[in-house]
Amino acid sequence: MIELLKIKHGILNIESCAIPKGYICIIGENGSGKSSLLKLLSGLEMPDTGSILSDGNYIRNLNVGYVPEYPERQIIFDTVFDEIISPLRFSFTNPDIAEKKIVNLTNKLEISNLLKNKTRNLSGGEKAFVALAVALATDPEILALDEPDSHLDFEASEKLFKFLKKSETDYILHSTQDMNLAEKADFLIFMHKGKIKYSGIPDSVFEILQDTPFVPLSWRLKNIV
Amino acid sequence: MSEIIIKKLLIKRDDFTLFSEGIFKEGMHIITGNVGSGKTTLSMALAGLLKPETGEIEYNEIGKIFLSMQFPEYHLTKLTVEEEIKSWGLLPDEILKISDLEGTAKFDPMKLSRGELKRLHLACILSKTTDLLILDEPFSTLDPVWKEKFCSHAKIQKKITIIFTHEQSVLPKADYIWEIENGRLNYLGKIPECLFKWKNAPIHVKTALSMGVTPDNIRFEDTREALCRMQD
Repeated sequence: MIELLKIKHGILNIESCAIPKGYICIIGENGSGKSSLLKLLSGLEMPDTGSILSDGNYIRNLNVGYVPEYPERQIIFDTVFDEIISPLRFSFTNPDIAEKKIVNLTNKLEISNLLKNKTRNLSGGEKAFVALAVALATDPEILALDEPDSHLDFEASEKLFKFLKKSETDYILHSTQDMNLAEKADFLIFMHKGKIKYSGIPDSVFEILQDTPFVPLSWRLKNIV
Repeated sequence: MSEIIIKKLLIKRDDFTLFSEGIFKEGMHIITGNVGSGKTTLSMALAGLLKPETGEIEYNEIGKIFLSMQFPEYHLTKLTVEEEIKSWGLLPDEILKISDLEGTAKFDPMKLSRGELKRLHLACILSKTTDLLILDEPFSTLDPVWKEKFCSHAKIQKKITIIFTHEQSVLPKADYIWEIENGRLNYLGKIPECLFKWKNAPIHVKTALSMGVTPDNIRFEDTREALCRMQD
């Protein structure tokens, strides 16, 4: 469990919330606090007041991967290979082990064809997958994804979803505007004006959100077919 | 009549090639294609910002062209939200109201969330008068509430509007569908006749078609109407 207690931070105001292990989606309007929450859950920022513990540990003592809202802004290196292997080089991993790991990881993500490409020539969606590979290179316990799917088409988001579902990462926290994806999460968080307004299994959250634009397409279709 | 005629346009970059040919008539055009298929490249070529290898684009009766890039931060030129809006020649109060961002006038635009920034950018670009409007992924990063708002915004319909998108849930009423596949831009035809040919069609359109009904257009409400008609 990741446990949040009496959090106040910027626009965030969260009394308490317990997030179980698994694939967790965070939804809500633009500006409702999704990115701010992800920054706290990944330890990039510390809350002004309140505490966040992941199975009793401080987030900053854990290995965390983070895919930002603007993936191209964190790209440092010229080629995709150098970019993805960089976290392992920064942590002095043996080059043979590091290289094997990257080959394995990029195969799983189906982006090994991009390894020799220049990072500046990647499309928006490709950049999101490269940023994901960078975040996963060091086998994080927590993976935070800030709307990477806004750059992905239907097929690519399916691919991303299948990959994340199979992943061994304990906590995958994914903020998204794709309700068809949110529907498939293990746990769903709905943010509104800095608060966690609803949370629980997707069925229960969407039940409350009936008659709002947040209802997934499949639900709307079910109602008329 | 305004139109854009693409004459055997070939764009090359590294091992990527894109061949396009066809005529964009007045109306709303939707262009779909997978990640990396060349949607952004073509949007830039149509805006006249990219030199093709061979071929040319002829613009008939088109004066002003506006291109909205996928990433709204690429458009930023000023240090406050207010100055940014003024740089478009627009009134800050009006735009802040349309985009529901009142109170952010003095903010650094990069302090907004990406969705809010996209909202600001779309409110600006739609408020401009233009003959050709090219929108590259205009709905990505918008929440479902704002997707609906911009799709149904009257000002999205210019003489020619071309939308590059992979959006599946919320789409505007459109006239023509194009698809980029295997390095080629293909004209599928007029809506609704061409819908059955549309590989990247949204799930609701595909569902309706699989049940033997053709929606009048590509919005969710069109599918709902079509399915209701069938049940009558």
